[in-house]
Amino acid sequence: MPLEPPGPEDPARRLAGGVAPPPALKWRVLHTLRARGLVTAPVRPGRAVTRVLLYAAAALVLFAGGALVGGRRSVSVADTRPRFALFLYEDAAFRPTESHRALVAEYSAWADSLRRLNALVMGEELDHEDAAVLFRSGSAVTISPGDVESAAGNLTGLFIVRATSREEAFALARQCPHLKYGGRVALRRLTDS
Amino acid sequence: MSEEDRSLVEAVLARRDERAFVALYDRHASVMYGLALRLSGGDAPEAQTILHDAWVAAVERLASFEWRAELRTWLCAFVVNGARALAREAGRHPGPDIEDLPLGREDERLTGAIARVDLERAVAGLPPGYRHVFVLHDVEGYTHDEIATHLGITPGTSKSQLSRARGALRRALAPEGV
Repeated sequence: MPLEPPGPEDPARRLAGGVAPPPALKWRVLHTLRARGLVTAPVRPGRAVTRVLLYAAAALVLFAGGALVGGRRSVSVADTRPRFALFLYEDAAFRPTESHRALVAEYSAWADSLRRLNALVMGEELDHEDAAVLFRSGSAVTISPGDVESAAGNLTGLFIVRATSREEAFALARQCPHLKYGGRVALRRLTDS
Repeated sequence: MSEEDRSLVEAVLARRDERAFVALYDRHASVMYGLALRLSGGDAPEAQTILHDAWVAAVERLASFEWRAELRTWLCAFVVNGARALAREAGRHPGPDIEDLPLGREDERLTGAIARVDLERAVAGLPPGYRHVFVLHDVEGYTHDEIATHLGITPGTSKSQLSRARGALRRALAPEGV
């Protein structure tokens, strides 16, 4: 006997309907689509001229923010080993084969392995929801929503590690799961090290 | 068929126009997210993963969309596939918990005054396989043939899972001691 179809008075039908997703999710989707070259961010006037300086400024802001509020600290303040920043970039070559949740778990496991080595200072995924670029245009400062344009792609993560040498920092960075999906990892030594 | 959807899709395909994509997202994301939430039993992080992956997969395959169905229906298929894949990935069995329930009035749809919150909680407690069929059929209005296509099962399996899902819900919603 066929099942009785649902009618309009069916309580189940009252569960139907849309639910607004969190605003941050739109930026996460946009970020992935940009990284895969499926959509292109709108051109922002004046950005090319100030790209290099803005990039450096953004990096400094990220450093400061990470140092002030970043979690996952595991190295004692007495540790005098040099600190290295690992910037994670994604461009069209970044092709994750796992879901975002699985990626987060994999990157977290890598961070845990750094912590066990007493090498992790901090590590965070960078949210795109509030991403913005500030630049002076004439006498005014313009705030442009979005990311700083970079030939390496979009900046999506930041880790700071302790290592006794540049070579040891390379060895740590080499294990970053970002590389196997086609992402790039830029390494910089912090100048106060 | 929505002409606005068509022009936005053409802009994304021709120029990778991000503004056009954002307009598409704003038009359809709420419906997709509502479906993802119901399929995941109200698990918001899982629903967000489903929605994210659904949009990425849909845009990657956008050129293959042939406009034989509504764009929203096509987009929701990615949500259904994502929910099913996540349940499979998590190793969740479609429903051994209620496999042996006796069948009685199971085939009848739910009726009467049921508080929405109670029903949501009961649906969330269903094993994923039964929940997916119940949500798609009784909540979203899909036919068994459509469900079979989306979930890769037979229409007969869809019917039997719906029957057991309704039975389990009826029991979960029954007053204590009844």
